[in-house]
Amino acid sequence: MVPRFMPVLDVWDDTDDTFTVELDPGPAGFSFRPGQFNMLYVFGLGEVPISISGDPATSGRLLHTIRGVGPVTSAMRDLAKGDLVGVRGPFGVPWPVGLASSRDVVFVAGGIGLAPLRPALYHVLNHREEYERVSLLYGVRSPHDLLFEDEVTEWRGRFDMAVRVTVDTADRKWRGSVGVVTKLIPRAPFDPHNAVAFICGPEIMMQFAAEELAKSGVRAGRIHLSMERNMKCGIGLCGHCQFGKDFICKDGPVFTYEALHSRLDVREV
Amino acid sequence: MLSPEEVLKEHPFFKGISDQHLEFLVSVARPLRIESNHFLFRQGSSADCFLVLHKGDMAIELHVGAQGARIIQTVNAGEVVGWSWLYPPHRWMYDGRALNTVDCLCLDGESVRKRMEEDHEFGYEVLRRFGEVIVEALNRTRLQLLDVYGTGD
Ligand SMILES: Cc1cc2nc3c(=O)[nH]c(=O)nc-3n(C[C@H](O)[C@H](O)[C@H](O)COP(=O)(O)OP(=O)(O)OC[C@H]3O[C@@H](n4cnc5c(N)ncnc54)[C@H](O)[C@@H]3O)c2cc1C
Ligand code: FES
Repeated sequence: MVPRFMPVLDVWDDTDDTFTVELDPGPAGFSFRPGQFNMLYVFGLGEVPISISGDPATSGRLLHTIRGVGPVTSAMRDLAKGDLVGVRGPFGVPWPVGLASSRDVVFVAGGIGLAPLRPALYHVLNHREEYERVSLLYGVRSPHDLLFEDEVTEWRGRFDMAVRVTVDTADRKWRGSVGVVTKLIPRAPFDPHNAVAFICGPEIMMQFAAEELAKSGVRAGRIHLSMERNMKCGIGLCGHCQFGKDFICKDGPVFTYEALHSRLDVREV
Repeated sequence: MLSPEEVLKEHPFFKGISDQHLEFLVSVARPLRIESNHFLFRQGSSADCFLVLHKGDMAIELHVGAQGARIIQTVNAGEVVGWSWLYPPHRWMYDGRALNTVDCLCLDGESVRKRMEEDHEFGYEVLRRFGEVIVEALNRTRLQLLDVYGTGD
């Protein structure tokens, strides 16, 4: 599959190490489903999988929120208005937002994991009447690392959504919770027997969060996680992203905890 | 305001405890209200009790040199705070500051320890509950130490 080249409209910093790149998909727009990712190609450097972080209802601008960790992702911070980025996608199994309708929805995000979850949050809030109680439990390293801070504050002010944020450590200026994100689960407003959970963050955090949700009574088949592995083709051909019997790019990145839990404990699959 | 008996009966920490043990705990419980930003205990001071929180939130803090006070954990209604009373030298390891108005019961450490020595069944019931709290705290601390949200540099 050949990439479509899209001009950069804007790049802005979200935190010290995370930024958002806004691309112009042109008049045809760009349709995607929450949780899907694109393979983004930077000239002369390479191609990396990045989740789409914008609103699926707004197809006129394509957002990706990126943390600079290596050559390709760090170079993306230096993109400027008008630069071209190659885009292949959208790929992957989305968050099953339809399955969550008429149920309580619990979003559990860790660090940059809020970015791949945000399109699902937008979808649920855009169709709020279709869902029961909605909560977002969000854990970050420090208050400094809060992603989409203004939006999280806005969501926190809504009457139809519970937002709880926790950080690993903070100074006295922080008025919120300190501790791991799993600690927020027992106090979140949801009925475990009628809840669907979407978790995204570092693998170990997702594992603990899924365990805590399962312990509280949420069925493993209703707990969904988004997995990451290095990728090359993005379409199930090269085997780079193999995870046990699945390819993350094609069979995921979103899987149920039921499908994953025996594999999450294994050192290398 | 709830009586100490009502608080202990309803509190998740004491779920399933016998009436006889509950009666003893009520007899050594002292209600305490701390206003926002006041300290329930200070690092190094004598840990002569443990706290059963039934309203409000508190921050457990540690002084880290030039960085000043760092909050290492917040604790909410429905939890207990403090195990320094259990083992010598019975001194608080951290500061405990109220984040809003906190209502709690302060259970006298010396009386509880004495009873645990005399009545091993009671001792087992108390230690089992504290064991769970300590294991959970240890697991959470391990996760925090991993710095899972870091870039791995
Ligand atoms: C489906 C999917 C969705 C993704 N969505 C996003 C996103 O929305 N935003 C974002 O910033 N990143 C996302 N990633 C991760 C991103 O693809 C990698 O960070 C990127 O490939 C790193 O490329 P690089 O050339 O900059 O660094 P590399 O040189 O490839 O790696 C630099 C360092 O980062 C580590 N690393 C590489 N890939 C990952 C990874 N997947 N997870 C954690 N550490 C990694 C490497 O081990 C190495 O230490 C996603 C990955 C997948 C599979
Ligand atoms: S990236 Fe090639 S099979 Fe998944």
